[in-house]
Amino acid sequence: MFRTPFFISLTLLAVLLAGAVSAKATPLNPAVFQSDGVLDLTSGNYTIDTTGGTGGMPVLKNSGGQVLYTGTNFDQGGSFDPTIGVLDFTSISIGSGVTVNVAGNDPLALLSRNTTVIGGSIHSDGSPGTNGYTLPSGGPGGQGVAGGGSGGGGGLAHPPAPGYNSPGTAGGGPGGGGGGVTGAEWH
Amino acid sequence: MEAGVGLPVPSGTDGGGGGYGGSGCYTGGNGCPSCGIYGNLKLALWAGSGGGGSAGFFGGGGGGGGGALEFVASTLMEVAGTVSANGGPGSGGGLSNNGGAGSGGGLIFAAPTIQLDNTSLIEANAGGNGKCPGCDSSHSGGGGGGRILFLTAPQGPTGPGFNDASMPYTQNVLVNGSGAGNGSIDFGPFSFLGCLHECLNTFDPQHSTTPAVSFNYILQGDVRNQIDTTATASDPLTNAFAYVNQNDFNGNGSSTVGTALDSNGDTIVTFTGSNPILDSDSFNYGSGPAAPHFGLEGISGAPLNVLGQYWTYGDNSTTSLPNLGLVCPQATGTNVQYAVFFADVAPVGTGNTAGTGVWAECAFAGATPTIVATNTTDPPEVISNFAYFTSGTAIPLDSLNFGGTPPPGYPGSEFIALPQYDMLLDPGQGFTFGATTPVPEPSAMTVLCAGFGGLAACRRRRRSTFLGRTKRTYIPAPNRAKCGRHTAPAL
Repeated sequence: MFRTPFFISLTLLAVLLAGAVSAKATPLNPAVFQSDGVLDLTSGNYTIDTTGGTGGMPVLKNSGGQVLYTGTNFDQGGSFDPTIGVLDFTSISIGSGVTVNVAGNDPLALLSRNTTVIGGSIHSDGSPGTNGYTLPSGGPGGQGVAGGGSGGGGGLAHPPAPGYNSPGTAGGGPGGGGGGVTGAEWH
Repeated sequence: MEAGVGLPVPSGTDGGGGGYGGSGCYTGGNGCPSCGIYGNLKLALWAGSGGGGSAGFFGGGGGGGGGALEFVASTLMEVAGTVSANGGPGSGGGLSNNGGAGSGGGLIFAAPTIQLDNTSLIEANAGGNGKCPGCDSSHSGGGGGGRILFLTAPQGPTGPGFNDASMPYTQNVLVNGSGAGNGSIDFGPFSFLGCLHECLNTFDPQHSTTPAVSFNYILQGDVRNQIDTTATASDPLTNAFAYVNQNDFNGNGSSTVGTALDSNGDTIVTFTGSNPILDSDSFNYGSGPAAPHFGLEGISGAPLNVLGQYWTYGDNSTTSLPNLGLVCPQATGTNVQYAVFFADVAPVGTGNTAGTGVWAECAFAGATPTIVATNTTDPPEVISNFAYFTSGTAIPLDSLNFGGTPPPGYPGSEFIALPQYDMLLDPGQGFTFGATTPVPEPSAMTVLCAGFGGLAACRRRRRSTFLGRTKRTYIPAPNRAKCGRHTAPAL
């Protein structure tokens, strides 16, 4: 039996742990945030705007635009989607007749200290891009929601001069698609 | 969200598709299978990316990326409805050229039990585009699928909507690309801050030539349900008895880990095996001779606060080991950060020449974390290498490694050394990091004991009342309470 000095123990500890993955996140803990009580939605349409409240806080609104709950922000760091809008409840029930659409610029966390039952629909879908010919300029990209990058805009529908090629712009986000390069020339 | 640099489109009219879990692509882009892939939901809650706009004139816009949603339930999560984070389709109609599709977004579902029904639909698909989504010369601007992560029981979600975690691409859980790369569906264990995988490590040399029949941790409170005793028992990296019995007895040895409450309501975790650990046994965890190593595998992530640790031997004697209790309040409110603390601890005057490293993680709000460090054992202890670092995300302690976050004193270490806290602590003494003056502070009960001239008597009583064994200095819980056991709140 070797009686290892404690500094060697530390070395062995580190070596033993070598190869493990680097820092990784765990789920947000509901107990860490301020609870808004019970969320029980039984019917109707609702919107969660992750940046729509005072100071950019997340809010849950009914179809009339009334703010029912206001959450907090959590800083997860990094350059992309650094802030998460957090809504924390004692329990969450979203009934089968309920539709919740997510809006706003930040990702969303819905936390429950007990159960979560999702019987309805929750959508955080990006919007479609718009055709260019309907506008004086190129068609705008679709809006990204809940942290999603927005689509890039189309090249100009009315370029400034004959022979002009107007490239599209890149989509937002780390994997944003590049804009088209060679447009049809305007003569 | 920030504007991205965009997946380059080398030529052509149409915009490229956004990527995320799967690659986006562009017209003629079959040779770019990994373009636009990024992120990892185990590291950060990230959303999808937008598609590129097409070139003009009549250029159409790209679709928006799908969003990022995280659902967490502390007990049960049932999804019988629809949760979507789909990318938006790119434009493409009439005279307009084709915008690229947005990628699917990111979805995290975290709960001890997640049930998916036949009616469940969870999707992070890429948007289509207005014309022929795909990647070859006759198609354009397909988006990549998003990412979905389930943090739950090892077998994954339960219920008829998810039958087999090895075949995650079911009709209920989708991460389809639009002619481009599909996204990812990943799994991991459910846990909050604290004990996720191996969350507690100690190297604890024997201090007797007598065969060791068990090793024991004393953990604050009743945390019996927070420890995966099965995994801990059989892993030679967490149970030195498993190491010995698996290596030295041709697979015929066995090892176990059990838990029980002591009279103070604290949890005793006992490691043992069919064959004891002998003084002649050697251990090598890949870097040469080592002391026996013990650790704990957690289940639900409850922090485990170590109050003490000790060997028991075949002659019924015991040896307590050094321990520095590190207790910090769990911060609440907004903008919580995390801090990992570390210290080397060596006993004084016991004849034990080897110490151990201890560490803890705290959630804090504000500029500086606070932690109370206390010598929870009987002999005085020398504290050295006290250090910490902070992070915007929780860091399981098994992430401390040379490749990621080396311990203090090693090249590349992120730990901030705090040499002013390296000091001698008597039993019951401690200090609070975050306080202005790091002076050892005896606990209130220790002061009380000393004030009545009873400290020495208390210590004598401790030694004489532990099952009649007097070899070393395990402190039975009732007497710890009398003589200065710290009572900081559970993490």
